[in-house]
Amino acid sequence: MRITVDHEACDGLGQCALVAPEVFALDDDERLQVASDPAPELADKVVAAARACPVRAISVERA
Amino acid sequence: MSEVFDLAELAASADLERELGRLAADHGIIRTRQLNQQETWTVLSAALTRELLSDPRLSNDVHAHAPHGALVPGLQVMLLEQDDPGHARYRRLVSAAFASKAVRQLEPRIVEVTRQLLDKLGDSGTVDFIDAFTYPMPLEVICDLLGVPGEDRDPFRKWAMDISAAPSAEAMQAAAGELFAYCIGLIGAKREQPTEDLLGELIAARFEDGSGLSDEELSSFAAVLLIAGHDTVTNLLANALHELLTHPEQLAALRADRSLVGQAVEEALRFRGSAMTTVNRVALTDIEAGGVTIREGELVRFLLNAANRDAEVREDGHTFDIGRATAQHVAFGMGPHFCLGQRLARQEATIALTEILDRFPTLELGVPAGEVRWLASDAIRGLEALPLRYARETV
Repeated sequence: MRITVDHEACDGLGQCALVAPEVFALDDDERLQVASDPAPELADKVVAAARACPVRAISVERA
Repeated sequence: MSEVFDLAELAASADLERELGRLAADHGIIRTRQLNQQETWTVLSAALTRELLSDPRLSNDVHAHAPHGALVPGLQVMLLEQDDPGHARYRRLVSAAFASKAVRQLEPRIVEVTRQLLDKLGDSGTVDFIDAFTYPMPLEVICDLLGVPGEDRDPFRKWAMDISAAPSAEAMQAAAGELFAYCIGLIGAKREQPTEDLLGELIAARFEDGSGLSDEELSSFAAVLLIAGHDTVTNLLANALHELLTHPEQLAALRADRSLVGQAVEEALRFRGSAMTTVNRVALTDIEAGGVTIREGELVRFLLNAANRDAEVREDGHTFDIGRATAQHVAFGMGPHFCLGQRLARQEATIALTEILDRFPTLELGVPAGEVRWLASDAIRGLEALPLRYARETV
């Protein structure tokens, strides 16, 4: 799966990280860090995490 | 379970959160009756709250799917009553104004407003602290941010009270109508004479296709930011002070170690947050949840103050303890509608508590602890008044 983050739009609220902490995390500056090669079985969680974003800054393309 | 609960009645008459805790032990979701007599599902448990707040089968666009569940009939409230992708498109227009950097820049103004209000109290006395401080402080800050002229700010308390703690659906709709009419006029004036404030920016804002916001959209934005931007903080601050003053050992701990102020704010949010209930969602399909079937078209709302006391999350949820390193609450919701203004609310509460404790070494309830009166509201959790006795000297 391919995960793209619009860092301009990302507000550092961490809602994605609550849904899929295996893949998303905020660093100390509230900048979003994304795991480089998430396991394929996490795809549903990643899609749910993208949906939880208040500004829709995350897009996901399934493999 | 067939019993239908009246949350407003419970809120005024008892220790609502404990009562909800007793209910939640058996039912993660209950039936409640709203102000307009509509029945809705109300989610109590933390697990169901986390699961359903991001569930796309629940829509915030009640105007499209269940108009009887709207806050105000025929008037779609910006952001709160919208679904994605449209919701995110609008939210992006205002998110920079509430981002970390922008909120940090407001700090000097929040401190200034806070000190001016505390100066008016003099060296000692007894006042309703909601009237004297927790209401005007966040109102001044949000009105400055949006660009509401100082002379226009007087009616806001009544509008906010009638919207969030109205005695009837009619009173609520009348207040919302007046507020909306005011905002239409304000937007018109700002179109004529552009201003450098958030509403001025929104008037000038353009989407990718070059289109801007209509007067109706702008007024809805103004109205929701104004009300959500002060009433919630007013009650949060009052609740926080009330809990600290009725838990003297916690107040003493905070006075002894002021670095705990952030944790105290988080614990106040968890223990008795002010935005108690979310707006309605509507089920777009049948949903099985917590042992019940939510039918397509039925309304669902979330009682965040119940989820924050859930015994499944922590056994001592009914204990007010500012020593918790992580309060782990959903006072600002979760998912796509996670509170836009949470950073501002946290900063205002932190500054206000710090300044109040600095100013008044003596601070105590002006009435016996059991005699404060809670608002009979199913939406906002707060006090009718918070009489405090204060002094700049230790008595």
